[in-house]
Amino acid sequence: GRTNRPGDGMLGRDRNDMRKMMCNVFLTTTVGIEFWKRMCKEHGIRPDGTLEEDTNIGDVKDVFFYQADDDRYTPRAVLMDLEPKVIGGIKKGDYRGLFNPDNMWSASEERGAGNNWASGHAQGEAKAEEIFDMINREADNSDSLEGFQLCHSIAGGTGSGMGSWLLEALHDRFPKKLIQTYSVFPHSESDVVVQPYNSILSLKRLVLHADSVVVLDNASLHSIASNILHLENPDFPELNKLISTVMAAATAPLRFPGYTHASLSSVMSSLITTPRLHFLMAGYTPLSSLSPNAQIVRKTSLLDVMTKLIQPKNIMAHVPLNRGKYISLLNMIEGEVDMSQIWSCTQKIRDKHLSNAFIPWGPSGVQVMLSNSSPFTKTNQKVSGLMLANHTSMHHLLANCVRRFDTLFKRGAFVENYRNHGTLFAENLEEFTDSREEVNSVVEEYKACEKADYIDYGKVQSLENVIA
Amino acid sequence: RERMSLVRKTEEVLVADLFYVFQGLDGTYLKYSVDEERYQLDPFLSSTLPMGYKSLVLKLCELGLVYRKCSAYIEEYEQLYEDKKLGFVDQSFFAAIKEELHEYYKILAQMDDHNKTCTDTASKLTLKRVLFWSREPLQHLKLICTFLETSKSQGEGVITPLFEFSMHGNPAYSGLFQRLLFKASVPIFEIILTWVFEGTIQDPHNEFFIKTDQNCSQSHEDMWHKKYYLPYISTGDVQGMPPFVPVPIAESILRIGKSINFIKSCGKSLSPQDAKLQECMRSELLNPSIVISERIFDSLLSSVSLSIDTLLLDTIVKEFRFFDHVEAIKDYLFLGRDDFAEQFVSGVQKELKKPAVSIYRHNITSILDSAVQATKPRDEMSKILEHLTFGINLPKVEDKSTTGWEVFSLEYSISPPLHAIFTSRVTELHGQISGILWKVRRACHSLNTLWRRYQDSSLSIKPVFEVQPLLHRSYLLQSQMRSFLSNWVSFINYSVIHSSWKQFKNHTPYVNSFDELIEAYQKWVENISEYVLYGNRDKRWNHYFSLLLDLVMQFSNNQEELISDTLLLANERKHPPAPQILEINEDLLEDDTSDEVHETELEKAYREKLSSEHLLAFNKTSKDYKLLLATLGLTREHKDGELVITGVKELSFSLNFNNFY
Repeated sequence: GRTNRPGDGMLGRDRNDMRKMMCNVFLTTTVGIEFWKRMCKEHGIRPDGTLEEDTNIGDVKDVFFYQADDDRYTPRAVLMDLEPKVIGGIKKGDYRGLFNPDNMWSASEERGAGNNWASGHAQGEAKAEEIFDMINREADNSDSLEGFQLCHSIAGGTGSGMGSWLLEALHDRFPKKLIQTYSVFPHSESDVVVQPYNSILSLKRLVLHADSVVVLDNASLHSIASNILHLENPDFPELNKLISTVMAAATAPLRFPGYTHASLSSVMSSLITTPRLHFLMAGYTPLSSLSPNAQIVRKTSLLDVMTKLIQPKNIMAHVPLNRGKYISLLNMIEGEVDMSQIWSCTQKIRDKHLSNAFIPWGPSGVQVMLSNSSPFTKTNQKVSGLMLANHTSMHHLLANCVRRFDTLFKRGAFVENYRNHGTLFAENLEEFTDSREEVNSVVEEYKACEKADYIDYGKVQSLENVIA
Repeated sequence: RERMSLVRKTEEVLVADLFYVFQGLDGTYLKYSVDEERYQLDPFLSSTLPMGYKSLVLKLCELGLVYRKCSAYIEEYEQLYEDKKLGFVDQSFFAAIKEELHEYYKILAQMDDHNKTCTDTASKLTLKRVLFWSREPLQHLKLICTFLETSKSQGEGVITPLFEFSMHGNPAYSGLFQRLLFKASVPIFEIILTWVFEGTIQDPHNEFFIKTDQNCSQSHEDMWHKKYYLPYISTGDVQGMPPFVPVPIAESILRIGKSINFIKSCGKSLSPQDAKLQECMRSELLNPSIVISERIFDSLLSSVSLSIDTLLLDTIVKEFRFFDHVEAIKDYLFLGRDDFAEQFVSGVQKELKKPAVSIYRHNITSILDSAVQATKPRDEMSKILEHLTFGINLPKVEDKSTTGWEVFSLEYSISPPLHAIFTSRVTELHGQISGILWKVRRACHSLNTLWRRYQDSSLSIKPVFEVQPLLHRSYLLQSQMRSFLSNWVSFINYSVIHSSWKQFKNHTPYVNSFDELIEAYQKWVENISEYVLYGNRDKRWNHYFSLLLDLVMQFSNNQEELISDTLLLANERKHPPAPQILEINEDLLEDDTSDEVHETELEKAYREKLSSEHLLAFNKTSKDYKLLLATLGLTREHKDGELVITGVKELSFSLNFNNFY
């Protein structure tokens, strides 16, 4: 049962509860473990959940951790996989004592989702109560839950299929909580033939049920790994490290609160203007610091960092930036910088690189915020930065998915595999065309958003609805 | 020959007479004429004595005259002394003068002695010998006399003229006056020593250049800023300022004693090390061979002031945790911790929505406490943060329409002795700054809530397609408002508060005295107020800025209503009321066009409200918003006489980054 939400907004649910905790769901468990390793390091927590040293480092640990009865810190995390291998690895690894063992879920039989969205979706639905036992427990544990973070891939079976089911279910059961995803978009030259189907079906859920999606384009991740990190055969560990770096930097203001953006909603709302255009791109610098053989990084200034953050090579989405417009752009700077320079830096950046790069229908510009950083991860580079941006050229990435879907779907290839799982495809294949339309409408809206008359886009939508 | 012997005899008589004259008395032949104010020779002698002798005698009488003058001054003084009108300085000055006269008497006695015991006529005193002998005492007495005349006519006490006389190039002069100056200054030195080591003023005759304001309160603010003062500084009148105490020295003397009082009032005692310093300084200063000049205190004071300044700074910074307080003010009162501000504003709004008269203090207290605790302050900060409180300033006339928002303010209570830094003026600025930041925070929060409302309603609202044009424009207006507020907040937080905080922190290791610390802090707060309140210079800015924030609040409320209305309708469209459906279906069988006729009550009400109330409200808000931005000078060039305000250039640049306006 889904998205039947009678009385949404009418019921006297208290909207003013204090929100700030985050519950994290990882469907790519390898990223999960990498991310939590990093969290532990930043907050001075040992693999067994005890503190490195008992000093206050100006952080707020309970956004991402809770303290068990024995004072050990436990991640507010649920790790899920349809293949027991990775979870089995974690249960035997260094961090086995960190996670709540009840929050690690893997399908009992060793069959996975076979890269089939429908299989993942159906398996999720079948195990709904089991899974929501974990999630509800985490949610109940957080006396002021702000939202969920979901990390998954949209190409395979588990992350995309089960992830999609989870998005629907979370949206249904927690209609007022924010859902932020870190979604890995597939490489066009993948070995998984049905990947275009999986992607389009997942994207529909990302459009409808996620509040914000940080797009991590596999093509860009690979080119960063080979061109910047100089890895000959970029492997999962490096890519996972990249992803967890982005996630860590994006959540730093929540965990090390400063002057602004200390809540997920304040970060998201400064980037997302209209509800459907919520596919964000991320950039990070200095990426070379993530290399296993990182060399010494030269001292960087605020201007350097801000300039690098808008260079395509540092951005984790392979899109033609110069052919679109920024809807919003947020720079999260970490490290020792002279903040009195913000104004002059943004001015220089605008005049040099961004003179006509923003949407014409409203005021927008480079926003800069200073993140506090962990004393435990002081690195040799003085300054680092994460850029999150809402850019209209994201429609190229989405349109690609639509195009690849169309090519495959026209031939009716492999659709039989989807009919065998769950109920969605039992009667017809409308779910496919439906999903395609949903994604395509976002592509269209992103295109419309580049023009000044976007202000009247509501009329178009309204008209379309009437026709429909 | 006979005449010669007569002259010689006369000379002897006259020499004997002169001894009387020299003591200001009348002799047998030499008598003081009150009318002519000089000594006169007996008329008989005057006519018989040769001209040369006569003038010699009269010349010698000058010493007598000078002596008479001196003793007249001294008598005058003794009269004053009996009347208790003389200060310690004058007392010791006249004592010194008397000592000088005493020397003079000694010489007279010696001379008299010599004359009486001398049997040899040839070595008896002659007028010429007396003249020779009296030259020095005369000069001496004359100097004293001139000085007394000058100082009396100037009426500024004796120290200043003494100091000037002591600068004379002639060592005979300067020696005498240094001697007198030293003796006259000893009481001042004593007062200074008591002040700089004990912090008390023992000055019954009001001779000290530092004064006490008896009327000021006992607060630490007044104790530091008002109670002790240099009249010279406020009036520019040098009276009472010893010339060997230049203004900077006087200020540092003032500061030292003030600091001692301040430290004592903090319940601390001075270190034993100071006793040593005191002994050292006392023996140096009270040594008669000291040369009194403008530089006398330079080296003497520096070690004392260094030690006391360090002690006071340490007390304030370490014991009274000054920097922790400033951090608490920056992060909590000025809402520099976003997580605190967000949690508090969202927690407290339920309470503050109520009418002002019916809010419960203890509710707010517990919300404030939990918001503070949620930021996980360091243990020592938790204690400091108890100073974070709030005020409810109820209007005098009870008015049900006043909500909690209008009467609530965050406050920071200052405990002694920090009032000296957080003076009432500074505290007032704190309040004003915090007030604006709080109001902005409330507007930001309401926009944030609205944004979340947009997010979580967007799917459910879909069936009500006719609201889309308005809603879409609302999204964009919301984002315009957010853009303005977040630019303002970023600008204030990063470019103003954070940058000047860094400056303030970096500067503090170089702060040498409490006054410098007070000044540095004041500068920090004033800099913030310059940008947050625009220095209170142009009330119009504050007025329009408040209007803008009110508009944001109003917009949020209107939108909230629009969305609630729309969701009601969306729900009805999704789940049409069952009995009516049957009716409609029956009708439909007969008449296909009855769709509109059977519009439900809700549909009808919504349609009307949307096209009138909601649309009008939106258009008005949108127009007003543009107008206010322009009025604030943010979206167009300034013309002469319009608001030209610090920081507006930066703000309007960020706001207009993509040249939208």
